[in-house]
Amino acid sequence: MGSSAPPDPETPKDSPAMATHPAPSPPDEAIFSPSAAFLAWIWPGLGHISLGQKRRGMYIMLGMLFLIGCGVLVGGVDAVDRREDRLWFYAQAVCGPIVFGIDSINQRYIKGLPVEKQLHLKGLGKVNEIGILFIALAGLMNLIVILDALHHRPIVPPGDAAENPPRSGDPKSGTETGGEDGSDHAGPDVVRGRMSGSHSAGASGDDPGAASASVSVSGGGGGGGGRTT
Amino acid sequence: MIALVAYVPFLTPMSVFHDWWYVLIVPLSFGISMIYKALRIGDLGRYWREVAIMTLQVLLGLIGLAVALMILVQLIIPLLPVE
Repeated sequence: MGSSAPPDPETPKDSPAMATHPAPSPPDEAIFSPSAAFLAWIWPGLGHISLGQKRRGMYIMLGMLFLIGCGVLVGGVDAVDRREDRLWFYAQAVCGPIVFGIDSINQRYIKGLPVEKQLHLKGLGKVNEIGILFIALAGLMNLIVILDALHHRPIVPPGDAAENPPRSGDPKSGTETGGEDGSDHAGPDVVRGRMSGSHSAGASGDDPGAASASVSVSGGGGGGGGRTT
Repeated sequence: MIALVAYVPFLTPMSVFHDWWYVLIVPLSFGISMIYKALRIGDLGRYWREVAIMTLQVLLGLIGLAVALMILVQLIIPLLPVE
């Protein structure tokens, strides 16, 4: 590999230093995707699946459904109540239509019953509080998921980035390089751009210059310093 | 027993957690860790390991805070002079 990497078309050809190394892209390169954010609200994880990260989206979906399921299991359907727990419902509503469905069941079938029959269906005390808390926290976590899908930074394995430096505004760049579902099956050298700050130039660390050096010496396979866990 | 028979999952609340509510911090921290780590880590091959580590970190942090507060409230504050 080394110097066989094709020069970036945006690089001036009369610059000897830049002719052999791809230029690091601006550190703030991210894909703005309102449709992915909307899909992430419609169903948790769907936004990342639509961005080509199936496995990541499935894990998000699993975690969200786990929290919502635990909340309803512990607190009953009364854990979502837009009338009696309005402020909590604002946080819960970020989970998407699934929460509106639970609230609809609560309002139609539980609240419509006589008071005597409501007694054992209504959550009281700590059980109710914790059921509400589970779903509200799921909503707040989904807010982070939505923001991540909205302002998405592609994941670029260093070797692929050295050979195919992603272009600014290319929505496919970096998201389909690690396998069928984006970067999910990539090896341990996968670097998430959002952690390293030099995501799109194939950086293996925080220094874009070091990234260029790794391109010519080792093909960008060295280190994984940009990843945080 | 009557309450047990009347229990319908996902419809009625789980009354058993009235006294054991603090046990629910385990699934809560596990669920939060699942979502957080799905967003943050690059190599998803280590996903479940990272989730387990973060869950343990959250639990240990909360236990540490509880112990520190217990020491403060039950041991240190009683030692303060009373006017």
